[in-house]
Amino acid sequence: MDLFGLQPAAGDLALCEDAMARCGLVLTAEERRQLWEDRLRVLRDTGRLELGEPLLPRLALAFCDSPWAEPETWAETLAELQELFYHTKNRTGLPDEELLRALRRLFDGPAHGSVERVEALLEEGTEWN
Amino acid sequence: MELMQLPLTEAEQTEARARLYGLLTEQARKYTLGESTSVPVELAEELLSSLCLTLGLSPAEPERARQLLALDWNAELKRGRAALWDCLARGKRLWESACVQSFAEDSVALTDTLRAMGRYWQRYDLRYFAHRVPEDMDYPLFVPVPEDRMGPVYAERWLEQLLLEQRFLNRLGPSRCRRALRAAAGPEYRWVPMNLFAPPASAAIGELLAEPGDGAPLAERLASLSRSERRQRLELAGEALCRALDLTLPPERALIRCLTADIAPRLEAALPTGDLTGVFPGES
Repeated sequence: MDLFGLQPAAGDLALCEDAMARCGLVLTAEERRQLWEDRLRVLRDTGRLELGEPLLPRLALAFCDSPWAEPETWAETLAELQELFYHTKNRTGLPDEELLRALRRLFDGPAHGSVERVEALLEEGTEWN
Repeated sequence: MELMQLPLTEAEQTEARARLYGLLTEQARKYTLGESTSVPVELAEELLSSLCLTLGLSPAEPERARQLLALDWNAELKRGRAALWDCLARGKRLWESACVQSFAEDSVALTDTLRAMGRYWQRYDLRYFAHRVPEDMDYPLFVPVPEDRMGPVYAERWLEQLLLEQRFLNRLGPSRCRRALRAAAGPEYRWVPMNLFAPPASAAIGELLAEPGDGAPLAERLASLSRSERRQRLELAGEALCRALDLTLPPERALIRCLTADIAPRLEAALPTGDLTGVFPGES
């Protein structure tokens, strides 16, 4: 059975819309579609299956009030964070919430809002906590 | 488990997928203690196989899928777990018999396999990995268990087959069996991962074929017959062996039919050489 076919192709970002709007962050319909599409690709690439509440709205909620979140690059940032999350999840096996908090700490702190830098810091073995 | 292989309409397929997804999500949530909403595909596959076995969902039982759609799957899961638990208990009892009755001392592979099975009963995880079969099953049965059998169903079937094969060895007696095993694999046969049933049972069939003897070697006598006559003689010798050992139940006779079917082509290949020791161990 194609297990990837079992999981819903897209979820709902409505839950985090208000929070994003309060931070001045908006996603266009095309950006949302692209993000859900990216999610399926990343899940396939990382060999993971999402069962239950999708990550994307939680990821948006966890990062939307970051001082480094910019309206112009918000969709791109979310896409990169989503990819980094699943790759790091495979490597560390950390619980979702703990991993989200760790990524946020690095993103806000030493990475200065650069997902690429967060990734580099993780590879260097930077402490999460 | 491939849902597409089941005889369901498109609407039924959709419903079955949605229900399976719901159960799989719940299983993953429990397995990860609610700490992760995504799991590696390999784990998801295992959780799904476990669910399918517990629900009785298999391409081998196509009607079960449709029947399930009319039922409460959580209740069926509970019922399936109880059935697997019973199967596990039956398997454990068979294993205890096998440990006592078997010719385990005559095969390192069998000793190791029975030991591995002992660990299986202790580690079996009915909730998440119900489909898993014992690991390190090195001992080869003469008639292997079909690969679509899973979990304790596989273990129970494997032990039934082992005990069936061992019944023949017990009736033939240890010294006769060991003579044939030594003839087949040498004095260190215990270390050879081979089936213990086939050599002694083949030797016994060879002895029955040789009776009544007119002094001529068995190979010479069999060579004078047509292929179909030889096949018939083999089958009759197999039936005679069952009667002689008082093992005439359908599975016992079926096992000997499998053995004679296995011997037949090897006999045809060996006859031109005049040496039947590879077919009937100990035959001179």
